Amino acid sequence: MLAIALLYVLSLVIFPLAYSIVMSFTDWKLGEPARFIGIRNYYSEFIDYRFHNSLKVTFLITGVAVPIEMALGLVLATLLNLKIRFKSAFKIIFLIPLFCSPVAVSMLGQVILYEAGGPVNGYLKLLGLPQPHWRTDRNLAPFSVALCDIWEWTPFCFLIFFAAIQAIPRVYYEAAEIDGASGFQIFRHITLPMLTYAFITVLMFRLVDTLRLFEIPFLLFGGGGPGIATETQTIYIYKKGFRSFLMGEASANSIVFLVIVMVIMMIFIKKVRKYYA
Amino acid sequence: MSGGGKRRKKGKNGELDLPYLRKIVSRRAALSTAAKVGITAVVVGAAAGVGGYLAGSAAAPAVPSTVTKTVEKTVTTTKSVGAATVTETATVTKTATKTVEKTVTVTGTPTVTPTKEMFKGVKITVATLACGEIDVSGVCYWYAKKFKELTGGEMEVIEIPYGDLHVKILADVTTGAGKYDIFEPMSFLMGDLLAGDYVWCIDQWIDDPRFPKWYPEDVPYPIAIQSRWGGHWYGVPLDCDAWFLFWNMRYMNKWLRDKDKRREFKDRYGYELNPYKWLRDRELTWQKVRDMAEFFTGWDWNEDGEPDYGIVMALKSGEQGPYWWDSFVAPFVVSPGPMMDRYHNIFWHDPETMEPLLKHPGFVEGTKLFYEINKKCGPPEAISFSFAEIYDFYLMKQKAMFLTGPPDPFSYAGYPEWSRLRGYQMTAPIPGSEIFYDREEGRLVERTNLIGNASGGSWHFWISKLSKNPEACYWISAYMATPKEHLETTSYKYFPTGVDPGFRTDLLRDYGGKATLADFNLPGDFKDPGYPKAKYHEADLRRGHIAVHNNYYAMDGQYTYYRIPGAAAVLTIIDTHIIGELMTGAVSVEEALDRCYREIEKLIDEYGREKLADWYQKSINYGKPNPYRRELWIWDDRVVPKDLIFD
Repeated sequence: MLAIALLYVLSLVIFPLAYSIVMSFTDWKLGEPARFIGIRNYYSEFIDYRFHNSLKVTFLITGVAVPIEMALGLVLATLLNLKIRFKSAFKIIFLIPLFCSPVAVSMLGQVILYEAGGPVNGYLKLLGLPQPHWRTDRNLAPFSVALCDIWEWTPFCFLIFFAAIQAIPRVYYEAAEIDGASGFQIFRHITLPMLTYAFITVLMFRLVDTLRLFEIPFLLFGGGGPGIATETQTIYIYKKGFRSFLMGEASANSIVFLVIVMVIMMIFIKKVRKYYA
Repeated sequence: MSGGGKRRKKGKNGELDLPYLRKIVSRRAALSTAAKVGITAVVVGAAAGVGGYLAGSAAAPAVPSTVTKTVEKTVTTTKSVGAATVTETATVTKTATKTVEKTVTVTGTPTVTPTKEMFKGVKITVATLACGEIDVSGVCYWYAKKFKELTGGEMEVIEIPYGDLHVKILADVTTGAGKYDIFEPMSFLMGDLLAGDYVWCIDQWIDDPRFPKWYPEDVPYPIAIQSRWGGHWYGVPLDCDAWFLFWNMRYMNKWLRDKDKRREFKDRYGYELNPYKWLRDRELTWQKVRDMAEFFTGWDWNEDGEPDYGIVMALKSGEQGPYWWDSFVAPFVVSPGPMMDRYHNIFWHDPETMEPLLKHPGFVEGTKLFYEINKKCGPPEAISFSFAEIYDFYLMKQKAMFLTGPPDPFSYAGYPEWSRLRGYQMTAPIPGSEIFYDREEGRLVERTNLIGNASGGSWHFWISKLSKNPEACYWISAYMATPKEHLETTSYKYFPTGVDPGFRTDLLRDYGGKATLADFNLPGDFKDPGYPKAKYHEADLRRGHIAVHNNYYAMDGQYTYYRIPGAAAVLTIIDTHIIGELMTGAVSVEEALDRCYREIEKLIDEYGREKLADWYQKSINYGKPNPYRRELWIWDDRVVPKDLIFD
């Protein structure tokens, strides 16, 4: 058993990672032999404005999308925990986006956010409201990506929170009700603290996932456009590797980004451990 | 004026001075010229053919052979008689016979007629652009069936999205996977394919009687170079992409007949609104199109109750936006000349140093106008538009007076489900510029400069060296390029193929081609049998073919297709900074060009400057005579209303 596990880790985790690290010190281009060039690729990253821009875009989208997804997921889970009719039907409807592939979400986003006659702008026009340039305004574009991501991933947050709420023992609520606590007080002092583990789980999953965001900005905005307005780290790495075929530089970029994500997660885990302790 | 005794006046670079020629060529002169051309072509053709045979011969014994060739030459000329323009067409047929010694080496068993056993059990795979059952991939499906019917072989079609196509193809050949036997990539991948020696040279098969016969000489030079390298053929040409200008004749004509509107234009811009005359007289420029587009922006010229736009282009990032830009700025940049030297017929780089020329005044001026015309006269959503959106915007909704793009709209115009412009589609070569940057003199020259282009994907077939069945691959590729099949494909005979006309055999005889109206199910005399009996309205078809001819054969010079290793990466840089950042207002024109310049410089260093310079020089035939020979500019008075040319 140990040998199988070891083989798995070595071949699918350690080897690709080690290979990427080695390649990041070369000038490897697809179809040509690699030559060792030291840390030149890493130096290029740090003076490259597109690297800086892609980091900024990645964190902007993550910073907007993740809190909203979690907040909406929590609200939906709380509402569905109340005694309402058609609870099962609502649950199914809420979960539908979760089963759509990001490609489908991007295509849907293209249609819904289509500026010249798409449904969103169509309704806004009917209401006499201004119609934003969802896909052509470079300042609005990252928020359009976040919007699609929120639509797709809120159900995931909802699912985890709903399961966690369901798992809270009823006795706590009954005791609070006997003590005369209001609904908000019950939510604030019982539900929320009891959801801490769920919060941490959802936050970790969503952070890692959103930092790696690729499909939605790639497909919705034709590879991170307009210009580089939605060019996330992963898209930039892809373009370097598979459009410019500069595999060495792309490897270096991947390693740098991996380190950034790992540092974030380590800080996060450290805080969590401290909290538990 | 009799033209019989006159000699052709030549321009600065030896090209024909067409306005002058238009005045002096009479019918008799045209006949005489055609006869001379015909006889010369026969003799030269026979000699060249023999030379070709001899050059490629093995040790087989030489045998005398008689070569008889009939040359039919149609010459269409336009002359001015008073205020009117008259188009004359003369067709001359000459036959010449010459006995020569030739050596023919035949390998294998010649099989001219395919049999169902020919490729039985053979399976080949073609990687092509994902378009489904129509367009480029649709054509592959169509010919996969024919391949099966005719030869017994099987052809599997693998559809790949535009952004991934070159990646998948290069990954396939560089890793040695060999999943694809045939590639149909955008032509800028040529450099990468040839640099790695990943594709077959097809010279050996072109005249081999075992394969279907297509005619390289019928392929226009700007298209041919997308499949040729160092005098050899590597790809089999199929698509003849180029960027054109289209306009809505229904409303253009309406407003041209409105004296108040014309006066308004003249008051605003200081000259008469006269697009048909400009086109006829080789005077249509981006500067004039800018004025017209601005004039038609912001008011309800199509009478649908909403303000409309002057022009529309598809500027979505990650798509084909760079083709809109390069074809637009080419007349500001390319300085035509008889030689492919450091200063003439050059677009992308200084051939000696590989320095990108993007910061030169020609690029700056062209890009400024490109930005201005889109910002001022186009819909803001154009930044998110791809092909489908602009065709809908222009052909169906009629919201933009002008459209630039590949030739497809002139074909789509006849389809009622896509267009309301049947019979009202104007097609013109991409406009020129009234100024261009002469690098040799180091200054902007004020002169109309018309630069043809073969911009776009131009989907050609390339055969992988990893293929186990290269001959089967060549067979089907060549079959698709045979005159009959190519005409059917480009005339959208079986469905909208997206494969554009350009071979001589595709064009109508009146415009230097070999096709007839009957090939398009058209009765003639501009009678419209309607859709679906005829896909085209005759007038739309004629206007389209005139434009195709003039673009490929009659412009001052040609934009040289970009085909060095790394071209795909450069186009991605252009897409990011010019189509993306500049058009969204994130950076200025100068900053966008500077960003492109710096990134391309970095890329050149990554690839190796000397190596790329060598490739670039080879790709443009550096130091050699310019192979592009300008022909007569064609015009046909019948295709536009005579009262709308204000001489």
